[in-house]
Amino acid sequence: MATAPAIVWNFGFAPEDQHLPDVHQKPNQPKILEFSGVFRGRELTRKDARLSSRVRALDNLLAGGIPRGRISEVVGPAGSGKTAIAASFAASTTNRGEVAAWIDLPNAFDPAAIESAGADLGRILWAFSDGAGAIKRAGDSTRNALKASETILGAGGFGLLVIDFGAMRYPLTQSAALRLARAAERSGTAVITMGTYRMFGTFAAITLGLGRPRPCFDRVAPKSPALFDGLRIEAVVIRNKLGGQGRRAELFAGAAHETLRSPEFLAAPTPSEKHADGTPTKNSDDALPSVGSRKFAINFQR
Amino acid sequence: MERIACIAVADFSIAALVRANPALRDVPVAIGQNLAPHGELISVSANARAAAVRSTMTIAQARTILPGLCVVLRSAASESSALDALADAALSLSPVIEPDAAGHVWLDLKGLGRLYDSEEHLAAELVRRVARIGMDAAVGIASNKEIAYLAARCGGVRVIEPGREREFLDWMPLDAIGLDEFDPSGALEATLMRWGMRRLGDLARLNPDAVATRLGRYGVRLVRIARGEELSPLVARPGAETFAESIELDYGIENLEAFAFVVRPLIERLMERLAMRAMVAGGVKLALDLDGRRKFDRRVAIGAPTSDARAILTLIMLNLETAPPPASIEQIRIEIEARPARGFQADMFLPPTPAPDRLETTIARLAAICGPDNVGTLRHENSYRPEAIRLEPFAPAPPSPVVSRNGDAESENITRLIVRAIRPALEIEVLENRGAPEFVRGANIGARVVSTAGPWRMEVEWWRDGADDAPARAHRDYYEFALADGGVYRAYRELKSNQWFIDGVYD
Repeated sequence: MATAPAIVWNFGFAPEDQHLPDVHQKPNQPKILEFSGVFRGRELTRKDARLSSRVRALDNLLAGGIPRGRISEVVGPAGSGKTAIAASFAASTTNRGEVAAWIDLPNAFDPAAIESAGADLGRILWAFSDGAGAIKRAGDSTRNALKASETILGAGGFGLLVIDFGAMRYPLTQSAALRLARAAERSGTAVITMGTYRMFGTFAAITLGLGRPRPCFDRVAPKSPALFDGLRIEAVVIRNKLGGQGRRAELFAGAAHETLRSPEFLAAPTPSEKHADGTPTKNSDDALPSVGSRKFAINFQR
Repeated sequence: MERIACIAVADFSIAALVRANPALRDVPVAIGQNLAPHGELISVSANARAAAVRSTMTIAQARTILPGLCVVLRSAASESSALDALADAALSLSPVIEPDAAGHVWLDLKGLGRLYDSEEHLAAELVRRVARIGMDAAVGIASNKEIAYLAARCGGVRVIEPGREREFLDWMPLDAIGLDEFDPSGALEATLMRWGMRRLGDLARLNPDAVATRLGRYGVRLVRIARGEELSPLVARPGAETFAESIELDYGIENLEAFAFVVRPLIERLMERLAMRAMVAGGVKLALDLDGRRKFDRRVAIGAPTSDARAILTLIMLNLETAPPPASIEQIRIEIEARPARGFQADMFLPPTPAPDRLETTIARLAAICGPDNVGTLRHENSYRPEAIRLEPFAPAPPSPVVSRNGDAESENITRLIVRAIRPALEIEVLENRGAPEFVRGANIGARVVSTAGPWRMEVEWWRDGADDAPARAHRDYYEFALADGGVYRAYRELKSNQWFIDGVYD
């Protein structure tokens, strides 16, 4: 006689909060019901409460995801894949039914791209801080962005706050960073900041550094127009207060996610690499930095 | 049995002025017919009365007794606002109320006994609510309007138990009931004093016909009240649906900083009134009387209904900064467009989300910080143009117990490639070699082209050519350039003008 699956009550944190490396829930395990977190202890936000990105390599790198109630910095040069990582977390947050906020200093939020990452735009509160608001002085956009961030964290109930500092070149003052860190801890909201440089200093729990990306171009056939496949992203944990500093991983930001993620596609060699008889060949166009970029999709290391 | 409560604000005209200007709270205040030294006082505050200032004195006489007396003119705007606020305080407890212009409100207490331990508690709650709107009130509770009014005239909180009305009326001193309201000339009061009448019980024992021949209609009414025979029904009036506060300024305001200082208490009082009626502000109408009898009206939209006074003030200031009033401001009237506040019940088994009222307040604050056009849900417009976006109000659906389609999707190490928009598109110069882009030069950019993908031709919205509000047709070739600076950019060439632009960077 078939027995009903057992239900495990998971008080205080979501199933993915337990998403630690090598501890993945198997499909045949009992279903875990989520509890909204009313039974928190003395700690304002539990250190093991994590927000998963649903990208296994990234979650392994961060020991289960970014911590809730803490600031996680993603730093790297322009085009290094910061937005792709933030979008993964935004997609994960909104798909769980939580609400996210996105503070946009450079006005670079592209709704179509974020939606294509799987995020529910209806659950992302976007605010563009261009200094046109209440305060109109030098450095307005940063000041307004910090005020807006504090306002959002003060409201409570947001699962994720993304602050895009764009190409800002100077760190925040200690007092500003401290205020935001305190506000994040009080609210329990996971905060991701994107910037070219580290801005929160010691107040960030995690600093994820991204190296210069390797763009991957490909051709369907020799002499055919080139296709842009995506970016190979190298990520390293520069700082992690919660452990795991120095870990590295390689990710791939793909232009055609649904196709690229299928195992058959990843395993198959690219057409340009094979002759008609099946022997490997070399792409004739030397201008292309990499051929068969899909290889990068399956080569990653910790 | 019917139970009626009466809220009475002593010296209502002065209380309304003090409410509008809290700095006058501890100052002896009097209202004059005019501000000339021979002008008579109409009403005096309790602390001025304690110093022997009376309402029939001239200003010069009063200032001889009390040099620090502050004499002001009566303000119809303040009284109207105070009366509305008093009605709101009453309506927050009972739906059946009857206000009058002299600062009295009667409430029907039917059915409220279940909500409060006793009528004393209910009366104390009424006093607290009136205090929240900036006035001190006395409350009387009895089985009819007149006795409730007389109980309130005694000051503080006084509850007349059913069946003990006669006892209360017999005790009620005549000088506490305000005989000048019956006969403003004062002859009635003088006559009663001459007859040795000190309490209502003394009057009740007189023959009404004999009193009528000697004191006229005022006397008859007084005897009927003393005998508990004056029974007028409670005439319910609907509560005001407009929430407005006004202030008349002695001197014109010419700068917005001073304006904000004056307006802030008005907004805070309005928010208090809204809170008592379980409502929030959905919009603000600003009506300013300017120097030279000019009017200045402005409607300030609020992105999301809120009860946050600070956010509303910021929005008003932002609005006025864009187009300030052309002359000094002499009178301010703020009217709030009220919306019902939404309740929220959190679910224990779903992820927490912001409570609607807090979310609305947050959005209103964000609108004040970032600008009203910079907050909301950003969506891609229904268009083939990549740059076409639209902003919608942020209103997330409640979380569903069913996880959405991507909820369980998990990939090994692949994320989706995201393009960061460059708004507006950056015009660049592209140096070509035999038709192939070789070097890109523009503001903040200048690098060799390492790899190129494309072109992908796009020709859209030609069908809208000629429409008045339509953008020009887009006829472009799109490319992806990997530059030597390490970035991959989305670029396009306008085929009509042969101009190059970069409108995004892959990140």
